[in-house]
Amino acid sequence: MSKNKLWIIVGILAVLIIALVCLSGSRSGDGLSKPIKIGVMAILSGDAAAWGNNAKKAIDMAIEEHNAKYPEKQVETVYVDTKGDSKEAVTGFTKLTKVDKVQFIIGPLFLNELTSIDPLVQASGIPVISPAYTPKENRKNPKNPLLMWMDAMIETERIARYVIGQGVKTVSIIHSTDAWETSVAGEFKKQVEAAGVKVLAVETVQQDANDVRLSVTKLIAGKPEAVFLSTYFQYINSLKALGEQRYSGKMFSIEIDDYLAGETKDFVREVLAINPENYSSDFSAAFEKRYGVRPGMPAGHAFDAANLLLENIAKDSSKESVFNDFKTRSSYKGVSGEITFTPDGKTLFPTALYRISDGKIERVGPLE
Amino acid sequence: MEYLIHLGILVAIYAILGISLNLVVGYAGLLSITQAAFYGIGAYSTAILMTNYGVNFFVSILVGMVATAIVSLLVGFVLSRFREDYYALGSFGFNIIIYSIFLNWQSLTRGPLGIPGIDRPEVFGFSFSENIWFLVLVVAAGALIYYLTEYISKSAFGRVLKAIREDEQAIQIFGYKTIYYKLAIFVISAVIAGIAGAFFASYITFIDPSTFTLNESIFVLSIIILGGLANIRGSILGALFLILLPEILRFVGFPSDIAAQMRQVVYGVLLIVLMLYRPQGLLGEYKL
Repeated sequence: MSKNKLWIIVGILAVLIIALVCLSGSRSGDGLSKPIKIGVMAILSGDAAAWGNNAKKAIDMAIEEHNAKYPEKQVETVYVDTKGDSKEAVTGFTKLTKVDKVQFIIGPLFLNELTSIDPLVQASGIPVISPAYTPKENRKNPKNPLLMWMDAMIETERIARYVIGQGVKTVSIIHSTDAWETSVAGEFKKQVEAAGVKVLAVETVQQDANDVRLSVTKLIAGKPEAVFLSTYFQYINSLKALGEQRYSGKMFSIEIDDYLAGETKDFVREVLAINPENYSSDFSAAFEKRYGVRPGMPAGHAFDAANLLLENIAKDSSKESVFNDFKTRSSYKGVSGEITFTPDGKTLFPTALYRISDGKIERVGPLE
Repeated sequence: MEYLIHLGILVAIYAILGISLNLVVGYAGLLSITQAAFYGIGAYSTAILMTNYGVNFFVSILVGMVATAIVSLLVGFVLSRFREDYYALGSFGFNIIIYSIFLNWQSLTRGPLGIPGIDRPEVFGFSFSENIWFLVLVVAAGALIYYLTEYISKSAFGRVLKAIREDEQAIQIFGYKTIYYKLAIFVISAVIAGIAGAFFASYITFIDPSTFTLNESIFVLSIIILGGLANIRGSILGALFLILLPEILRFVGFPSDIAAQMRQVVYGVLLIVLMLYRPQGLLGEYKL
């Protein structure tokens, strides 16, 4: 390729992106009754796209309800696809704040994404609410981003206490390479070992592995009394392998939704899991009516995150007002129940024990 | 403007990575799929030294270079004995091993929780905390690497590498110990990738193992195949294309429900068309 052609290509690329950035910026510049812009950072492609799309559906629902209720305070959303990747999250945040000039942000959804944008959030002063968990060591300000997800350590402590209470003496743990799942597995191990329970094996599997049979074989080689499934991404494959190998011990888990319960219908005897309390039946029904599927795990949390922000906007859409609300807020009643925000940045949801068998999730009782 | 600066920084970092891999794949003809591992070693060395021991960025980048050199020397020594497909498979395996270490050596790397709060570079009281200054720094480093690698490629050493690529046995007949040449370029390439990793860690201020997977190595390989093998400018052009093209597609007004998927589809189709039109890459002088 000649030098001239090369420079033409580089020139076209550069001109194209500068023109697009400028055009995009100018669109938001004028107009008297311009809508309030909210940026949404979600995983819309890649391995975890199902997770992100579930959250997106719930956010879309909340925005539509708000726009119908407050015609004078219309809200417009700008989505960026973060792919569950730190670098993409930084790019997405930069685009939302510098090009689209959004006033508020919902998301991102994963721990690594949230940690990577944290310094930018602090520098920008933009209120961010995220349906994700991130340990407080990874965040500078405990209330911005405001987290709308159960603190994983406390939730793990609750299920660990329950497992210990069942008289289990030996347990094995399986989780994927996902940061949340690894944190939960580590905390569970710490909690049960402190109570004298012997952890026979901890197996880590790839988030997108198709086959986890080898890991499951190692997991149950020591014949543990119980298996703790610290995994969402590999829940189905793990249970399938446990079923194939006729594992007969107890099985415990964390955060299981209808989808996972349904998919494991044919090879699960019984799993006991800790979950946030069921989403309100009104929300579940509205979601199912609109999309034809029941809300998945992130839907209710994303819906609550969007609504908390939108309720603030309805009252006063200034950044300062929303920011102050985040700073002082100690609770919120959403479709996921009464959510508590502790001063040190932890988010607590009411939780309960659920029995998963025959493709159904049945509430056993509160687990606090 | 800030967005463009951000993209500029990413292009510069990936151009450095591309240049580093082009030395091994383009000039020496060794299909290495392990660049993300060295990129990660550079990033983790810098992150650990800066956050745990308060070491200055410029010192930690040097330590990172030494660390990548040592690891690459050991790995390269093993890989240099392989050829073609076996070389690719060996390097592939090494990438997986390093990724597993990042993930599982939790007392050092914090595993999947990653290392947050990595500072920006500082020198004589001047901080590169503003993105524009960081861009200047990374472009300056990139320019230095560009001239260094151009020099290498045009030197007698570079000519031997090309000869190894074309016919290793023939050059051995002339008495060249090709294993040393292959090892040397592998180490140089790894050290440059480590520099890119250090810049990445300091720029994003957070790293976790998910950034250094096999996919990242394949992405860097795509950069040099698209830009052109055995051409340093091709690596820069490839990085420019593969970073900017998906960003341009963010501005195409697809409906939000299908925008992300459409972006991937269009991106894929454009790459296929480009490779059909220019199978040797935009500026390539050698085909795999």
